[in-house]
Amino acid sequence: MSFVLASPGACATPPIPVEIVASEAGEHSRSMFASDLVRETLWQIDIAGVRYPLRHRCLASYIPAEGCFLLQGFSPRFVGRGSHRDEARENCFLAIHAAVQTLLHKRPFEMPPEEQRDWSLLSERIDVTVLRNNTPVQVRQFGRVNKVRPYPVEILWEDGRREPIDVRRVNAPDFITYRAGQPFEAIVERDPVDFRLRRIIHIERRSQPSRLAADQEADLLRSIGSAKTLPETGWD
Amino acid sequence: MQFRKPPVVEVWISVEFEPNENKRDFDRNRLDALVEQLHVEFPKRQVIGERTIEVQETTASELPRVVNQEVRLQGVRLWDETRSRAVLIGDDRLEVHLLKTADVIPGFRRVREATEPRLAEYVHTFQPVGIRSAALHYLDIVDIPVPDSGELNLQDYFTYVVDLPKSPFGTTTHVAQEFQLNCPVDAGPLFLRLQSMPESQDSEVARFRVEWHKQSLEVDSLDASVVWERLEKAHDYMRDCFKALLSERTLELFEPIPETDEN
Repeated sequence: MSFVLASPGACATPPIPVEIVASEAGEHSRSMFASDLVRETLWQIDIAGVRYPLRHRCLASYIPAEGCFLLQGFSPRFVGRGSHRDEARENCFLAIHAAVQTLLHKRPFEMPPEEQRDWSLLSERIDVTVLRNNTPVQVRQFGRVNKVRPYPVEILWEDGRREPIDVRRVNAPDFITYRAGQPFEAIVERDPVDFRLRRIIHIERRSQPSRLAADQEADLLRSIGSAKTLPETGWD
Repeated sequence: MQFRKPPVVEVWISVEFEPNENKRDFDRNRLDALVEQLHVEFPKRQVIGERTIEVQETTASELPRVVNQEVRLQGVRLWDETRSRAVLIGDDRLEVHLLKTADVIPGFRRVREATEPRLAEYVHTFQPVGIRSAALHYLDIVDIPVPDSGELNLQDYFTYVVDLPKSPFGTTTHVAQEFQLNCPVDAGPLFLRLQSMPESQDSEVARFRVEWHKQSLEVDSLDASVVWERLEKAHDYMRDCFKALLSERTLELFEPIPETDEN
């Protein structure tokens, strides 16, 4: 009979309690075992406005006096330190948050071996697909108010698309005063899967774009220059 | 037997009360009054609630619709500034927790001293007619150095732990065992759980948590001396069980203080 430490990154079998007691008593014992202050069960990691969904329930423990926060599966690579549980937990979550954000947008060939090990550990425990599909994308867009009934209800984006808008989704109190035709520049939060508008984080009025006179436009284009004015060169 | 480095990291006492006959619900006004009274000593608060969601079945193609939600207050947990002491004031329930700090190792005497005033305040505020049960809880974290081979025999450290043979099962990487035991010296069960823990950064150490929960039932009194007498008994019993569960080799890790006539 033997016991070994699971090697870091290895797929450890989740603990299975041996239920010797009868079911009713078992219920009672579960409430007893759930009452200490150093342990908690996590389904997700919430940090800095980001929610990392976990593939499985995860047990976390704070070790008083040592001041370290251990997260099953993530430790020992990710261990939080702090003078109390909340501080140590946040420290641990920040380390995970930083690692995920560093690695999330990298391709495997861009990762050195140490990062590959980290990514293997993180992606085995964090549901990366759900994370990607729930992390909104933020884009800068230009458009104008297209319909006002009596408040803005439709936007015409510069690419010609029309989109209904609810003033409650716009983080600007004066948006309700925009009149039809008002051009604007906005930072828009969109769903990463269907690109539906979730909310407008920031919006600013812009002046009506004006067209230059034909001769002024020609002068401007000349001043910018083109490939024609570049010296001839070969591939070598 | 006393130790220089005992494995205990948390000790707490929980008490369950029999409410008086006028009780209708968890009295928020009394709760607020007690929370306010403890504010200077325990300035940090956490509210513990239970949410019940009522759903209505819809068609097969739609998700069930939530028709009603109810949040029931279960209690308030108060922490001191250093987060080393906590008090939970619940519905007919009181808990006083002490956590290990760099300077203080919690134990029965300390947790009893911390509980005595809280118990008096709870009784004064909520006016229960009796104490139904009290429980003493210990949480130990045992660090066992892993030998060079990387394998350790659990029974060398935990005398009665059950493990599975390497053949055909393979190597155990995590273990969790729970027992409910009838205490021979005091009415009320002992709940015991031994469980391996996530690894720390020190990979040369295997870490286990051992939980002890001794419940003293049928207290049926508001007399605090009855509670302490029962918990004293529970404490002695748990100490005997602790020494029996852990092998000599494990106890040595906690650096026992040799017993002399003075201690």
